[in-house]
Amino acid sequence: MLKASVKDILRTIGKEKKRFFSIMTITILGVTMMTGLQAGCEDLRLSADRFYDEQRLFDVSIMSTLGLTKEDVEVIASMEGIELAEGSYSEVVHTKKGEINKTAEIKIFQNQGLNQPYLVEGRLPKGKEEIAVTAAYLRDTGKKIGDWLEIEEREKEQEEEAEDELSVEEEGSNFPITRFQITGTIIDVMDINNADGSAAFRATPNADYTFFVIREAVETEVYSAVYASLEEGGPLLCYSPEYEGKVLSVIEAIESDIVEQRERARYVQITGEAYEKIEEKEGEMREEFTKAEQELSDAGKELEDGKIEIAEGWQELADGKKELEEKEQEVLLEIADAKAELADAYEQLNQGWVALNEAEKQINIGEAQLEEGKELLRAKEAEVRQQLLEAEINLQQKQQENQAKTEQLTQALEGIKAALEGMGSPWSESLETAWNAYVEQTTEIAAKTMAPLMERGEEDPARIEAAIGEALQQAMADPVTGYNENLAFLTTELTSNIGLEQLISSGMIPGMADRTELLSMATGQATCNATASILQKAVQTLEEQRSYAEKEIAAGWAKLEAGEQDLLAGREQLSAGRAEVIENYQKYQDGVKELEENEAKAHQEFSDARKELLEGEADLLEGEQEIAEGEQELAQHQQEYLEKKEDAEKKIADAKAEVSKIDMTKWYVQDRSSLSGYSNVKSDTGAIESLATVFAVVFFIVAILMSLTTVTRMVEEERGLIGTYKALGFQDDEIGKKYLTYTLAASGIGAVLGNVGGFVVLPEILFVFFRVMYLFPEYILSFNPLLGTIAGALFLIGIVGAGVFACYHEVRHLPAHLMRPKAPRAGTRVFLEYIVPLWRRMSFLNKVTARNLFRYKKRMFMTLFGIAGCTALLVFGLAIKDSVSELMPLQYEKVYQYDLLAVAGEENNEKLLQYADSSTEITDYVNLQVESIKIKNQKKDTEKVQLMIFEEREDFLNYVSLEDEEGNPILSLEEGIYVTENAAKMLDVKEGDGVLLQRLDLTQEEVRITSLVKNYLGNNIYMARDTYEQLFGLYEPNGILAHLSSDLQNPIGFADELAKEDWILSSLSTQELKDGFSAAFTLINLVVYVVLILAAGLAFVVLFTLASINISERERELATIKVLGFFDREVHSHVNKETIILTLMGIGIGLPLGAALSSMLTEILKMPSIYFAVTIYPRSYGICAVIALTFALIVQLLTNQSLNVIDPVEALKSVE
Amino acid sequence: MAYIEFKEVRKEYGSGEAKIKALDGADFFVEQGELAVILGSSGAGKTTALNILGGMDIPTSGQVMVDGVDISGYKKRQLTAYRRTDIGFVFQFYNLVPNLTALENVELAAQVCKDSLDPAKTLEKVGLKERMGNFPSQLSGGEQQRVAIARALAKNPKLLLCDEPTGALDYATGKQILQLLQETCRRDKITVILITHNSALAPMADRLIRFKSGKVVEMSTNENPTPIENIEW
Repeated sequence: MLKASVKDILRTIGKEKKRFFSIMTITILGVTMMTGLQAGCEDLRLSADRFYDEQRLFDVSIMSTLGLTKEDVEVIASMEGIELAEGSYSEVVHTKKGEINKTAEIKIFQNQGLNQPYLVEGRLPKGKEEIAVTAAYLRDTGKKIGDWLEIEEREKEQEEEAEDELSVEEEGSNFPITRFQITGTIIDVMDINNADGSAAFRATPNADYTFFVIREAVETEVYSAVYASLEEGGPLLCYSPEYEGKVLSVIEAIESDIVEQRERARYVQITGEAYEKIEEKEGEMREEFTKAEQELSDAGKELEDGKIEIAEGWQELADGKKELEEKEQEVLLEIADAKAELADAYEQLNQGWVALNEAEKQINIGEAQLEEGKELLRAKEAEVRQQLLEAEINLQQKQQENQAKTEQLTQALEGIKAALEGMGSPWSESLETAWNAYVEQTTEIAAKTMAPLMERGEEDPARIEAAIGEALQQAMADPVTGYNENLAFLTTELTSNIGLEQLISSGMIPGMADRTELLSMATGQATCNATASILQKAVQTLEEQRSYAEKEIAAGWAKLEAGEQDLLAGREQLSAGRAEVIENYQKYQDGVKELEENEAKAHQEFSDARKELLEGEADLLEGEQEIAEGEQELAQHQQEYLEKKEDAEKKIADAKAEVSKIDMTKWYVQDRSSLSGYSNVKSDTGAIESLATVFAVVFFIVAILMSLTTVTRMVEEERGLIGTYKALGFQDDEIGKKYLTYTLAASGIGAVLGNVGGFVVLPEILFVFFRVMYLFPEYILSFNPLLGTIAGALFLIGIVGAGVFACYHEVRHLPAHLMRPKAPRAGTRVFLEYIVPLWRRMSFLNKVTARNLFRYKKRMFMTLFGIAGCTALLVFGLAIKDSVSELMPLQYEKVYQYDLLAVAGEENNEKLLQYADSSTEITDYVNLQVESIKIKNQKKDTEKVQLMIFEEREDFLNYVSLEDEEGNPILSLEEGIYVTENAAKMLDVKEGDGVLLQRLDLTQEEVRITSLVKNYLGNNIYMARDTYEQLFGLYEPNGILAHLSSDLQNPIGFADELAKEDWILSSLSTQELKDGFSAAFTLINLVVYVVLILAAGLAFVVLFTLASINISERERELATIKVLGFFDREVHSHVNKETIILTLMGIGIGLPLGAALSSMLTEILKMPSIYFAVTIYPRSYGICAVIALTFALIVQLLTNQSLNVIDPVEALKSVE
Repeated sequence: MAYIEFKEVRKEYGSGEAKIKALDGADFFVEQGELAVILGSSGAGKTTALNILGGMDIPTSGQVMVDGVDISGYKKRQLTAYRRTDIGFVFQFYNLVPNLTALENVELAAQVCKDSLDPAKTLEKVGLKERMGNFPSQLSGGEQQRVAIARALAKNPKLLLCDEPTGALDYATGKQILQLLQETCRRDKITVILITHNSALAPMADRLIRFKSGKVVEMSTNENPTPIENIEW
């Protein structure tokens, strides 16, 4: 069973989870920060060491100005402390990547030997024609394992032109095979820089790629280097002082014991060989000259023969030409005749066609007229028919009317007759006769009267009646007619009929007043009769008219029919005519075509013949030309022969002189730091470790302060409890144990987890970045117990100590004092209150805030310091980033003002200058000598730099801007050399010091530094021609610095295009350097991100811790204002306002602090080839402020939650 | 209808086995302008009742009417607003904001409600005219409690709720505070509800409410309350 006090401890941890975690998190972050970056760097060095050991990287390398021999190797191997010595050969050759020239260093490897290439894929070469390449080569060229590659020997051109040149040195290639099959990809242990990384700035690599072949593929007796390993080198860690000391002692031994002797031996050997070779060449030369003379005379004879042949050819050609002309004349005449005939036929066809067209036109007119006639006739016919019809209808109507009238009268009369019958006085026979006689007579008269009237078209019955009446009157007056008698007879008869009289008088006959009326009835009957006869006549007339008209119309149609028939016949005739003409035309066409074909054929034949003649002529001319050329060539050859002979003789003399001039051999004994990859690891880790120290110190201080505050607060909160324990009789140390355990647990767990973070998590993250930089196949995690323990212990001691101190502070009081509520911290007046006008203007809540800020002074300072520290770290991190991005414009816009650096090699310098003069893209340039060179201080520390030698002292102006350390521009190169700041710093030399310059051929001279010059990326040495000539002799310009036209859109493309030229060794535009720049700083930038994230994490923890302490200290006060009816929002702002003000103040302090910290960066980041000028963009300050403020706001959101859960009822129930 | 009414109010804490009934159907009422004394031993539920009445807690069931409004169903924000405008609290341990002077403590309350009284005058009323500029730590317990009362009154509340206001004070000072409360009630016609476990104070009340085990066991009115100076205990 646990003791109650132990239970209390456990429960306290359970209850105070937030606090526990906050202490733990701070410890984790702090320990991770303190150990992680350093551990990552150690891991990198360890991984390097393991890799070097496994691949058996040399410990000491020896090179010589005149190469090394088997005997040299044996002597070195026999030295004490040397485990193995091995001669090696390497050579830089050319290879093509597409069209662009690239360089590759071919090395040999020996099984079980030193410097084993690390096999990545495939297998190592076994046969002479096999080769292993770096991954970069496959990636750049797109080739695969199994493909073939070709190399070109570097000195080829020179060799060709100087076939019989005598050389004393090992010039040219020693590779008899130039075509190899790729068997695998490897990593060269001597070059572990990832080509994507920063290699471009740190040290110019010897070649773009590295290839490995087997020993047998090289034909040489001379080694370019001897590599040796130490007997005790393996177990020692490289980069460690023990290892470096050991290597140094061996180097010193070699230098003092064997160097001088071996140098002499080699010199003697070389000169002897050279003389032998010269004699051999002399013999060869004489033989060749004899051969050449014979060849020249043979050629002269051949030329004479050719001349005779050509004269014959000319005669033949003239004959052929004449024949052709005659034939041509003849054929042309024939063709002209045929053409005339055809033209006549065509004329006739045309005329016939015109006639046909005319006839057709006539027919067309006839047809139109016919159509017109038909139309007219049709109209006429219709009109006549209409008229006849109308007249017929009119007559019929009149007949009907008349009929009706007649019937009416007849009826009326019948009626009267019937009536009379009934009355017994019938219509008598005589009356009938008289009536009829009267009617007859009257009808006659009426007919006579009416006929002319009707003929005139009179229709009105009244007028007709009147006319009839008048005629009757005349008839009455004229006795001849006998009318009167008839009238009288009738009248008598009528009168005699009594019944009639009666009838009339009784009015039984309607409309009949007296007897006269009866008379008019008779008259009416007569009129009707007359009308009927007239109408009958009219009908007859009409019938006659009709039949006449029909006859007329039929005649018209017949006539039209006949006309139409005529036209049809005409048309048939017409189309027959047309068919005939067309047929004839076809015939004509065929004739024309035939003629044309014949003509063309004739022409073709002639032109063929002519061409043949011309060709023959050209051949002859060519032959003449050839002969002339041959003669010229012959003359030239003769000239050349003479020149060469002279030249060769001179060369042999020169060679002899040269051999006598050969310098004494010079050996260079070096350690691994001559490898740029090896020293890069050293400087990279150094830089990161320096950064780590700065970060860790700030981190540690902030973390310890935070923990102190947290622990103190916890103890204070449990003050009453401590009192109770004391009152129960617990010992002070028993009480203290609780806090000791609590803090120990929190920081202990934190320390362990922090070690995990520092030795596993952070290194793993760094490895990601290292992989970008280096080619080590694997990275090893290691644990440094000392570092881990120290970092953990620092936090443990700091935090537990803080807890114990706080506890002791309370425990020493008497229990009664402790159990009494601790008086809330007294309110005090703040200085602001004494500035009355300001204080008065502040709002009430702002006054409260102001007082609160100053009441909890400790917390205020903690917050300020915490936030300031984190902000400073953020600024520091961003300063690295900003400086890195500012380096580029500083270097490539300020220092390097040229746009293009092209190097052609001294033998092609003239060509390069011609090119530059003629190129429109190059606006201006300066010719100079560019060389890769090593600079060494007295301690033999070495930096590889680029040397630029200008012919005139002021040549560099406008192309490179040089400033001394104080920023004064340098306008003219004085005697001595100008070294870039970073190189000087790395070598620890300054203005006025002497340094050694070593060229690629290993000759070296001492020179004085005239001035240091500002430079940011890479290292250069500048000097003028006279200084160079004093040092190394002949000044041979080989390159240009150029400005490109501002119209040029793609300077990189231009430079690449230039690089494709065979005679260009390198062509690099400043733009390309700029573009490639960002990749170079990947590592540092990425480390910065890691650090930024850790710093941000710390900021967060700090803010969160302080905010929770703030709340817990003031819980009662906050509960009170809640009871008073403050809304949640008001409660939040009451607390948050303080946090925000503190955060702002913290940022205000942190920004300048960060700037101050950043200014140390140039010293901290002392890397080869990079002069780290510190720049901080204004916006970076903004970013840091915003990050800090954002965290403050996020923390506020969290604390707002805690504020919301404060329950006033609980909080106010009792005294704290 | 009475000014304040508790109808069948229940309040339970926890759940299942551990369920505690702090109020088990409490019923009482208080008329406007009365000085009501709630009596009861510890755990009788009187503080729970006061918290519910003061808008600091909500009942599990039942109705709480204040001036004709049922506050039992109020949401958190409504409760805050209710506390802000209608309620004045006086605590046993004063709960002054230590960082504010006496006057500022009163202002703190006055500034959050609309019809607040003048803080200085209110302090004068409780007899602290001379000590307005002092911080709580510079005041005696009785003075601090006066500031607390002034802070409650400055809001011009409908209700003045006092939870054992004399609990932390000596006899004489306690008496002065109770006198101040009684006077305030009479003079300003403010309804005062006072919690105490001291039965001797019963005679000073217009209305006496006795709590036992979460229930009201007695409610009586007193036509002639005894002035506080005549009460001894």
